[in-house]
Amino acid sequence: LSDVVEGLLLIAALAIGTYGLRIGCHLVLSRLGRLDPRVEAALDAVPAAVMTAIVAPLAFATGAAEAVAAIVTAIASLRLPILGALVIGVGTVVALRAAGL
Amino acid sequence: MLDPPGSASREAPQRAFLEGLRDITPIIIATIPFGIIFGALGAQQGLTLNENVLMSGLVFAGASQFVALELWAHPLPFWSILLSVLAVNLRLVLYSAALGRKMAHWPPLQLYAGLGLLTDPAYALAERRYAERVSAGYYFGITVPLYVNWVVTTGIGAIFGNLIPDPALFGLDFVVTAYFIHMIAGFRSRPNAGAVVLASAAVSVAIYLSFGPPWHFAAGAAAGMAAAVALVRPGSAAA
Repeated sequence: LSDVVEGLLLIAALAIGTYGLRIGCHLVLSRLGRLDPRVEAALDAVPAAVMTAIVAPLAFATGAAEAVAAIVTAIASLRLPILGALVIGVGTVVALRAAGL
Repeated sequence: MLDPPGSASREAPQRAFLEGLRDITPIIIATIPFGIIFGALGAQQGLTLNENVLMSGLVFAGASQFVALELWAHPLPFWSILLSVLAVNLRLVLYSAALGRKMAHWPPLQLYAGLGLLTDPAYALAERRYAERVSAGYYFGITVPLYVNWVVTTGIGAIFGNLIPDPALFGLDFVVTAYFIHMIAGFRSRPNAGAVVLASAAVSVAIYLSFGPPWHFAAGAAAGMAAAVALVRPGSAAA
């Protein structure tokens, strides 16, 4: 399969899968009652777990500048809206790289 | 403010649409940079303008699209990307189940088009405003402008992104990392969020360093979910 075709197939699969989550589960879940607490806890943890798993190596296995900037961004995120945290985080990484870290 | 049951049907659709538009405007302004960044990063990852705009237009789920871009590589890790995008979007199931009940009175075509535009802000705004029946006018007043904005800003970013020679120069490569960190920080009020994040980060970094991509994220995500399940207490699930 060529790269282009595979890329388009993947986008189509992402679209169909995401649409399925948006509608299909309306059909299924709205007919179920409450979920098991453990299933609910696992589902509730999914976004944080997946995003952390993706970002952790980018933050902590890339370099010292990225690791420090990641911690600065995390602290800034507790106080600031997203754009403020981004500006501080990106500013930190640029400054640390310029300093040779 | 919660409307009494059935109030949506008495609300004029055009007026409700404008009120939806008013409520979503601050969020639209805040998402403009992300659409542009998404398009620019997509271009850096080798996606064409068409692929970029197609992904925003068909998937329309920002965080998961950034996940897809982050894992995009040659050869394409098809199943890894598909699974992680669907995992990030799993929350839509819960929104759909909750909000769908309040949209059940819509005509089917409207209902399935409307659910296709379901996102975090659409869920939050509609859920807060309507206790029983969601006004279609209001819902589309939120979702249609948000959708158009996301697709258009992605296109702008994709065109602009091809003009940036080296993204590391401006720290643009770190934008996605910072974006995810901010999203993760937003989950801190959830039960056992700290344990979930620590377990996920530790396992992900360990697998990444010992085996390399792409399995670090599946293992890390599983570890985070396992931590949440292990720490669940009977009666605490209502949170």
